[in-house]
Amino acid sequence: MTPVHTTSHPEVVSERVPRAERGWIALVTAAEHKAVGRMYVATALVFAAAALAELLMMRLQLMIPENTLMRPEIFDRMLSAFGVTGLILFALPLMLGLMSIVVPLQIGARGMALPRLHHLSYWLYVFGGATIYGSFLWRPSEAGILALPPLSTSEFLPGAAVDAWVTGIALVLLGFVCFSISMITTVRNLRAPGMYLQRMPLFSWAASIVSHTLLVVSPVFLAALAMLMIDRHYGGVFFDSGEGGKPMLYEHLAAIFVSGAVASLLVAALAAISEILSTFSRRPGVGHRSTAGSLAALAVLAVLAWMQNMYAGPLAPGFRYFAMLMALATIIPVGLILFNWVGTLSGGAKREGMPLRFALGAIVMIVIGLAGKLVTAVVPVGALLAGNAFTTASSFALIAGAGVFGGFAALHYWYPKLSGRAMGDAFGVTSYWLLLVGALAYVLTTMMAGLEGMPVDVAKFYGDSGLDVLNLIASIGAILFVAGFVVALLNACASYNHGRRSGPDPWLGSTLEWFAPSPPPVHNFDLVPDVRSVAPLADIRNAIRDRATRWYPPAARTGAAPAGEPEPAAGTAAGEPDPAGAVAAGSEQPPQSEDDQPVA
Amino acid sequence: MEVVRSRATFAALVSFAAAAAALFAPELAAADLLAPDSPASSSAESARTLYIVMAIIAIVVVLVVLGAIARALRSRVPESAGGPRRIRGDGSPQLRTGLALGALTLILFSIGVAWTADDKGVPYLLSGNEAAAATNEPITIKADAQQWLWRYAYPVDNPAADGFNLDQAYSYHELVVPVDTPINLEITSTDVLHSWSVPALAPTVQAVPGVTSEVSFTADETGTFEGRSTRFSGPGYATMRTRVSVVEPDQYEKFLASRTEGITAARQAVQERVQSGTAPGVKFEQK
Repeated sequence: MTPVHTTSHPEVVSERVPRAERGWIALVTAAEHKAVGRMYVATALVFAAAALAELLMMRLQLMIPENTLMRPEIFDRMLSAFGVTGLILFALPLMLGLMSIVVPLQIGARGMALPRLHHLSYWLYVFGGATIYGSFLWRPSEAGILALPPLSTSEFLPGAAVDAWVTGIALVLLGFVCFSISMITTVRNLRAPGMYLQRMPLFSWAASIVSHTLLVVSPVFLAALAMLMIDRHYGGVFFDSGEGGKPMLYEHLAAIFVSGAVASLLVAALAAISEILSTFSRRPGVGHRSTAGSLAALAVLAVLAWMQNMYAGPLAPGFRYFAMLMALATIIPVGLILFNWVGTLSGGAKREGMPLRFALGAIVMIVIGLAGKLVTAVVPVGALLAGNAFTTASSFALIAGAGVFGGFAALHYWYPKLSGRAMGDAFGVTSYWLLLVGALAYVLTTMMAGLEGMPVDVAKFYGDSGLDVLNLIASIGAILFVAGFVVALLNACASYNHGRRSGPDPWLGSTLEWFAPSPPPVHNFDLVPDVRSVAPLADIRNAIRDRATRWYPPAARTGAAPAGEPEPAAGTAAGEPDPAGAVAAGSEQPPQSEDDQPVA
Repeated sequence: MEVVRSRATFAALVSFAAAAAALFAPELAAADLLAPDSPASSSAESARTLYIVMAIIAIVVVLVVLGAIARALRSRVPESAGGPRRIRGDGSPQLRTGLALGALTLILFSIGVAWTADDKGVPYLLSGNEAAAATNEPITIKADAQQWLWRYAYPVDNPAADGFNLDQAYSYHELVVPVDTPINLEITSTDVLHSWSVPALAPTVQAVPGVTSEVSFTADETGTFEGRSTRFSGPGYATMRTRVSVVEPDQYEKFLASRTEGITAARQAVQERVQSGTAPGVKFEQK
């Protein structure tokens, strides 16, 4: 087992070691990256509950043809809130929260650079979400998922509803900008000695890419929202075609942001999956550098392909071909990452665990979503299917695969660093199967419904169009999905105080966050080790093993316990993570490590 | 233990899928669910063929990737049997894979371009080049989207008759076109964004206020084809459907004549009622 033993008290006490504040004081004033990260994660899960309620209501309405459960106005309110909640109030902030917690630990930093800006980004996000949901007290926006003008101008939707939506999104986007600046500065300046960029763990690398992407695309959408507000209140004509404005401008800017946001989510999820696969195979991931490069290329190409969902719009053919080329070129980075995953898994150690399970679910959903995107990326097919439920279904598969499955994989994986406890396995398995079966049923039937002529965003469908069975199955799938999600939320809540205690390193990871205790103290590390490779913790284990083998008399070595002997399969064979907390007690045993041990 | 559990869940999944398939197989088979509506024009047919090609590629890709992952998962070594094997080689396989994927990208891109372009390099679906192939005169019809209706204005048969465009035949909701005749649809919107989608006949086109987008198609069989708006446009969006009736040319002429006649008669009736003061809500000042 892992004999890396860290005390919770610094061995070398410098002046004024900070102490964690408690309760509301910490909530408002804490500039500590783990506290802010926990707040991010908790808030994202609260908004996830809201998105689930909206998804459930919309799918109940679409369960039977010409349903009269709710008026179209009510459906449109659900729709307008659901789109932004799912992507930028739940999925992205969940990843950003995990990055806040994990990245400083992974790079061996004592905290975030610009901690106040980091904290501000959280409050901007909360106030943005609260503004959007505050409008539910009187009348929320009915302007659709992206509030495209002219529908969202004051001519068609006067009143404060759209204003609240626009203001809320703008605050969240400002929060993203603040987060990005803080994260980029952290990754640039606070890496431990020897932690060169090419040695950085993939999730930290992804945090840097995500931050750069959001820093580029958030202001783009902010500009569009500002123009919309000027049009609505100050007589602007940016989107008024009668005065020479261009409604398509908003759609372009919004599409750039959405492409960037989905790409960020995807990059974060792929990086988390890469780390999980490598940890659960007990060996360094194959092709660390090509995976890192692919993640960066994916973010760039996905943003450049923003027009791939706009083939029906008034675009010159050249632009369509450009978007098609960029969208198709994402095959290269995604394919490379998948190739590296296969290499990492095959012949690796056979270990099971909830993070691995969710990672595999994420792979299934992401591959299906990307395959759907591949089909519609080709111009004639994309034009044929534009605005069709097929496109929604593939987007849903992608966002749910990266945000929900990838998000929960990362949450299960790094939960010990949030709370010092592991998330429950029984709840985890239940939620996993409900989510996977529900998502697959929903996505595949919605794709078929789209091919049969189901448009996006409709508040009802007609019985004469042959969509009854498909929509019924899709609704049942969505209900299963929501049920699985609720179980996962309960699991996350219950495990925070009642989960099984996990030691510093429950999964036998090889990156530095597992060097710190769980939960890490305010200052993260008593001592930051020198980093000499992509797997610093594995290096430490190997060094200890070497030292142990050198110190032991030859008779003992050739005896019963040679170094690198496979450990007793007590916990691992049953699919349980090794309770490494128990290991610390037995640290007087000769330490053994099995990392990087070739099988003879 | 783990093996038993995963086998049990696998069996549960398989039986669930089998039950679902058995329940819905007749509907699924009857409805032709894996491709868009059967096409009634050559442009829609070519797009649909390309869709089928791409769908097969996508399904193969999904199966290959998931199969490779599953195979890799199965090849893992239990830790009791010695743990992970050493990784051999790094870097060069990635380069080769990247090159292969790049080639695949370029092939798909070329397919996409070639499929949309004719021999002059002009995109086939986006221009009216079908007109050259067809024998009949092309007809230009204006399609005007408004919340939540489609208004189709047909070309004036005899422009010298009046010159007053209200004499032009128009129809709401249903577009009537003659078979084997190139149709240029000029699509625009009077209020918000809409989109005109009749997958059996033509690619989807967005209706943008202030912009006239054109789409051309030549229906090669008669019949009625359902369409809908696929761009969110407010509370009535779900009701914003449309229909294209492809009829024989003489029926089309008859349709135009009856529309014109009906519109003229209705206008005259309104005019009479207004002048006689019996129109509800309208009163002329009597001098």
